[in-house]
Amino acid sequence: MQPAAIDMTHLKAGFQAPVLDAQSSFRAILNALSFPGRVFDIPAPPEAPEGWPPALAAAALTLLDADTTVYLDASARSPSAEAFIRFHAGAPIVDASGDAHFAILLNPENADFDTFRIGEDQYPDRSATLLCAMADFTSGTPMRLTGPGIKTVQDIAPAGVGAAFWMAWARNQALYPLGYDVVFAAGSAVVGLPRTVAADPVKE
Amino acid sequence: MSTLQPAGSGAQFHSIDGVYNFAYLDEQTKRMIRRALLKAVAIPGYQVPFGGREMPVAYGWGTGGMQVTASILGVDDVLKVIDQGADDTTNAVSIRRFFNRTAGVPVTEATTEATVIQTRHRIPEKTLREDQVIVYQVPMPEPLRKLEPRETETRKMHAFAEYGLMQVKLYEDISRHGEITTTYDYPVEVNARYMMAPSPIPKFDNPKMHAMPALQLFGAGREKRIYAIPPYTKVRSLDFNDYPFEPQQFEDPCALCDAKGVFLDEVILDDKGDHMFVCSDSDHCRDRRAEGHMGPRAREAAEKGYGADE
Amino acid sequence: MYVATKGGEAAIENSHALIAEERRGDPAVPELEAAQIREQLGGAVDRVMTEGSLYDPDLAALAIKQAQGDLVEAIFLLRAFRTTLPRFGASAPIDTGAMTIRRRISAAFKDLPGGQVLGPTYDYTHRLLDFTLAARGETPPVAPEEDATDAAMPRVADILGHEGLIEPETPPPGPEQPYDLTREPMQFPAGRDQRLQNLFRGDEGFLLALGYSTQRGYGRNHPFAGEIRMGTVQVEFTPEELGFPIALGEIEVTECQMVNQFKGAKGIAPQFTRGYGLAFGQAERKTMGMALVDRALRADELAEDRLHPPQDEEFVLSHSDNVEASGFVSHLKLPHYVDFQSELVMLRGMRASAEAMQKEAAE
Repeated sequence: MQPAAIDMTHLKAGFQAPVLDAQSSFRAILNALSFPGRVFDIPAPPEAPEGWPPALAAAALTLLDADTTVYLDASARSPSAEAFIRFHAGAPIVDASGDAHFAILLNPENADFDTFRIGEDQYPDRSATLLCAMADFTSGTPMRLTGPGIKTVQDIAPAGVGAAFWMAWARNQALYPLGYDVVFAAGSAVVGLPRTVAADPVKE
Repeated sequence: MSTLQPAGSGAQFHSIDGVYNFAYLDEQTKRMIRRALLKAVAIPGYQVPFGGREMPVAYGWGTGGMQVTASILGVDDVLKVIDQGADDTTNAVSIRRFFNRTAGVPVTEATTEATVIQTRHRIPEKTLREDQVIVYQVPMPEPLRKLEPRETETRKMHAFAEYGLMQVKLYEDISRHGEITTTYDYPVEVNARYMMAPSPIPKFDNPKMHAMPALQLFGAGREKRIYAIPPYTKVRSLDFNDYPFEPQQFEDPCALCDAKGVFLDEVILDDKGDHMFVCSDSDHCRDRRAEGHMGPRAREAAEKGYGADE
Repeated sequence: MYVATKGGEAAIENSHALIAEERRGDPAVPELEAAQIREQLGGAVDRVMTEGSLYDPDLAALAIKQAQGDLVEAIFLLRAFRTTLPRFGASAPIDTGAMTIRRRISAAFKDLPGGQVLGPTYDYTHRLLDFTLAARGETPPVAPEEDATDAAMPRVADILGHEGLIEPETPPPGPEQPYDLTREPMQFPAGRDQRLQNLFRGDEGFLLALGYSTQRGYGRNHPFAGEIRMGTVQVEFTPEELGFPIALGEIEVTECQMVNQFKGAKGIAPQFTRGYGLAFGQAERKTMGMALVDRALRADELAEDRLHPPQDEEFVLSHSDNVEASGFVSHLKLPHYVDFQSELVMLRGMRASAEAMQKEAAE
């Protein structure tokens, strides 16, 4: 089946130096998942689809290609987003979140987290990676993270996720070594939340 | 629209030598490896299968480490490559030349200057930092392989954390020899879950893996597996309450730089049994000598008026 | 920042210069051209293309020249080049039934539609060194009589299939895209696509020995060389943007269909079973070994006892690749002195405590 032609009128530019930008963008994401909760700058492309933080566009350009399926939540899915993903990454867009290697969520608080892939006993790596848009990393619910990659504790307050997300996260964390992994994107920075990390509300 | 190029078009190449892509691998391969690396970090110690590519060096000679390095390396990196702890061993030289040619990155022998360290069989003596990544070359990623040759079986053991086979092996060692006789590639448990092969580093280096500030990445090219230990992650060398893990200890200091508590290579000096012990980590040894430390042989040589290591 | 120029670096440069010199040999003897290898060492070229999994006689010839005729090294060179090529997709399956035949034999029938076509084969040569070749190969070529190969040449397996005497060969269910071992790691249990791909790339000597062992009782499966055919086939590819197939060109292949002992089950009348072998160029030995091993590896599927190495999927598929095997065996040449030192420390310690214990006991 040939998908319909890409709508070029809505197309936003990709990385300016694709090889080098993808590399530094990847290192930012690698660092983010290695040091959960810490904020890392990511080289953002000059343009991003409507409503996407530039960091989210950078992560998508870095990780997606024809070998990865991607799910977009209702807020993320726009003609410019579809054109962006299909033209720059060639990634098949799927309608069911359970079919996706990657999910792009502009409205993560309303996502049905229990539908994402968590991997299999023998292949826990066959799990989804969620790229979630945030307003910032400081004005949301303050959470205290512990786990691999964190020397003692790491506090974070991503604006864009609240109780529903953190409850889903507790369920996800309990599945370890299965589970999905999350990258938060705000402005031109990313924060990683691998399945290993426990999050508890910061007590005043 | 001139900035727009579809994914995978050859026009994006940022080539150093005009033939191959930056750091040799094509972008699609790098993306595949990068995705595997992210899952590896998210599941510490679990071996992620990846579509390993044929590299222009032989399998078993560092192809896994090279693919990992090629996928993470950028123009801002400074690369160090060691084999047996030394920068001047032939294969280390060969791999360093490869990246110097295909990625044009600066290379160094100084552990402190490097941002990416690719290694075979050692962890440097200097404590690595958060801004460094160490990439291990791995010949046999499966710690249980020597006990169970079948992938279908070992995969199940990992899935259910059924590691009794290894406990039995180590226990048999103790009953036969009075101690655990594994001296390198000594199995570890990562983040209280997966059993992992640390690659053939001496067990002396195992404690360095625990809570290391630097990210540790492992690449097995022939076996097509990637795994990782994130920074500050619990790494426990397997042992028993009554037979705790013990790393090697050397009685003598380094004959050249007087370092104690480091891994030493035995250098045979003649055929009559004369030998000396010197640092396996050549950079560490050089630094110490530059700081004025002198081991017994170096002192002896200085007293006689010639350099010990010439 | 500097690049270390120490013993290692100079030694490597030196070694490269030495192999270049070795490769050239005596400069008084004219240098071999890659084209001569391509035209006159076809057996080597075909093997390198098959196990290198790249159909390109010119590059295979170059690799053979560069590797001084070391075919495993040449296969490695070709693989390392292949891996840098962009992948456009999978071609349509080749139709060996529509092959332009150069050779076609069946050991199962005396005669069959299209006839037996002996074609070029060493089978009936007397293995006597031909000293006229040593004298610069000046044997006057005798124009070979062309075998009549215009007739339709249905495959023996298809002929048997019409009567339901052999199990049907149907594509496995699931996605149409075949497994691609060059992009995905091996996985167990392996599908037949993954297995055949692995065997295609597998070492000829390894498959020959394993296939031979099945004949000697290590997983015996009563094979008949149902048909071996060699010739050229069209390769077609459907580009996404066109939506219809275009011919990319012709390749030469050898195909071997073994017809093996029959099997039946409740509700299924007994049928012959199959083993399949395919290779680029003229490669009968390879395809026969491959077909024997393919059939042996179907033990589970055909509910046979799995008792012998050729029936053991993990054993065969994990060790068939000579680029992997030669790499890992040869890596023992790399320094291992840190690990050896670790063993020395352990051994000395153990010997010291044993001595101490003996001493104590003696006192």
